[in-house]
Amino acid sequence: MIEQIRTSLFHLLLIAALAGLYFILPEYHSGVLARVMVLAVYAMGYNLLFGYTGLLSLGHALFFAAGMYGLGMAMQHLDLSSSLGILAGLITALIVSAVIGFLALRTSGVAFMIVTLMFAQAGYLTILWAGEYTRGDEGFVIQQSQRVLSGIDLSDAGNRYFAALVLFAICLFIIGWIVCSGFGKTLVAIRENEERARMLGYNVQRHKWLAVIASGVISGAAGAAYALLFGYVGATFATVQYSIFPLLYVLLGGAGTTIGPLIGTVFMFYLIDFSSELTNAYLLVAGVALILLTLFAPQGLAGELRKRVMPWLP
Amino acid sequence: MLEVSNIETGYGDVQVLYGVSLSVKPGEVLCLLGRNGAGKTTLLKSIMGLLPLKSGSISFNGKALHTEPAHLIAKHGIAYVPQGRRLFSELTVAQNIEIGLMVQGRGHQTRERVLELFPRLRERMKQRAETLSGGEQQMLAMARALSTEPRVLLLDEPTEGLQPSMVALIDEVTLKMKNEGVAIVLVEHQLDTVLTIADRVAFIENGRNPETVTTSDLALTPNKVMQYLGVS
Repeated sequence: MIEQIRTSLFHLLLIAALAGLYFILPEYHSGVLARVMVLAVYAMGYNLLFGYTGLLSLGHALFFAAGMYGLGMAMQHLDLSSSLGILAGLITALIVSAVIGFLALRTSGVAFMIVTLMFAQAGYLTILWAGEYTRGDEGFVIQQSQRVLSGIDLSDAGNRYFAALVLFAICLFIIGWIVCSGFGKTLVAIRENEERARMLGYNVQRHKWLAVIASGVISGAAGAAYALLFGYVGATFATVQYSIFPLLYVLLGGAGTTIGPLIGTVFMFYLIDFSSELTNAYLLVAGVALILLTLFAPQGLAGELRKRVMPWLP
Repeated sequence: MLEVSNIETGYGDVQVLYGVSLSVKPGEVLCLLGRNGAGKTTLLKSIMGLLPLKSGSISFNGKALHTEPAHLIAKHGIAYVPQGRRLFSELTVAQNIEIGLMVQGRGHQTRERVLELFPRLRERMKQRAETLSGGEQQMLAMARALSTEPRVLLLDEPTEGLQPSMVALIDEVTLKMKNEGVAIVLVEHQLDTVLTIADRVAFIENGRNPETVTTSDLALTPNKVMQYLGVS
């Protein structure tokens, strides 16, 4: 109980700080932060599976894209409103993750990585193949007039920032709640020792499947929000690169911590932003920074924080 | 009563057990005695449903266990403390116990009872399991298993590599469980322990169970130990 309250208070403070930042930060940076928050939600979904359950997926772009295309196609072709579009995105992500989870969880370890990667590739190719509806590689724009949610114009920078913050806050509380719940603790037990958890009487397979679904739906929510807030749906978001991003964010920020994904996303975004101002070979700078982090903070930034100064960090 | 009848099993093509049978009653300690590689751990694993049976059956109070998936076997009240402990090493002592409590919906009372058995753990509640000493880890592994309030306890070399005082404590808890009516299957190499806490001894040799004797009979015929273990 105390754990739950402390976690919630900590998350509330973080959200208040993010809200305050909007009024302090210059426009460019608040714009970046809006994007970062949506991608951090994606990383949070990924973290639930990777950081807490110990399942390394290389195909999460499929879930992100499921949310994105679920919303985009529903709004484009069925003329649905934004709120129904979000619902369509979430349902698509739910169905896709339930099916992929069911199939992919028949494997484990490296095979699980390969199977998820392959499914995501199949998903990407399907988007290209159905180009007549998805507009393939080129993607499509969601018109400004459609990007209105409950009367709020999401193409406005301020509204967009706070919409991203609301999504981030909801997902942070959901993750915080899951992590403190018996279900979340069981996921960690599975991560630590799957066979032992099974021997104690836990249905490991079912727990892992539910974790894939929760992770997929949160990633899908991020995909849907990305499309709605930034007005673009494209096949790039279904590529391998977008499966690797959340893994990187989570590793850098701290796997198995609730705030790690946000920290990792901010760090990665600004690392590339900063280094590309310095040189054309910005990936070199980014690479060196990543190596240094791996050497000196192998548990990620929030992971090191938990290890050294804040052992209570959720 | 836990009954294993005539089971044959192994790992893939390698057969390890050839028609092993045994039974253990509530409040009884059955010790499995045999050389390394004889199949003792394999026997415990097959009771827990980790290895598919080629033939034979395992039942508990008349209900077949060998047809159930592994996670449901624990729900019948069978707990297994494997060799080498296998804790959730990154979780704290309290969390390790909680995971054990949660699965059968046990509450505060069970937790207190378990901590009374192992008072040392109470002082270590917030410590991560991996930072405990060997003896404390064994206590925690047993505490986690006992948190499910099992009716059958399978212990695989619980005192291996522990100092004498710790061995005495683990033996004491095993006896307490026996007196509370738990059926216990114990794999143990320390003959002193076997003679003090076991009721019967099942010898396991090359995947077979050539004989099962009562502990008092064993004390009268020490040559059996020589025959099956190669020591006197």
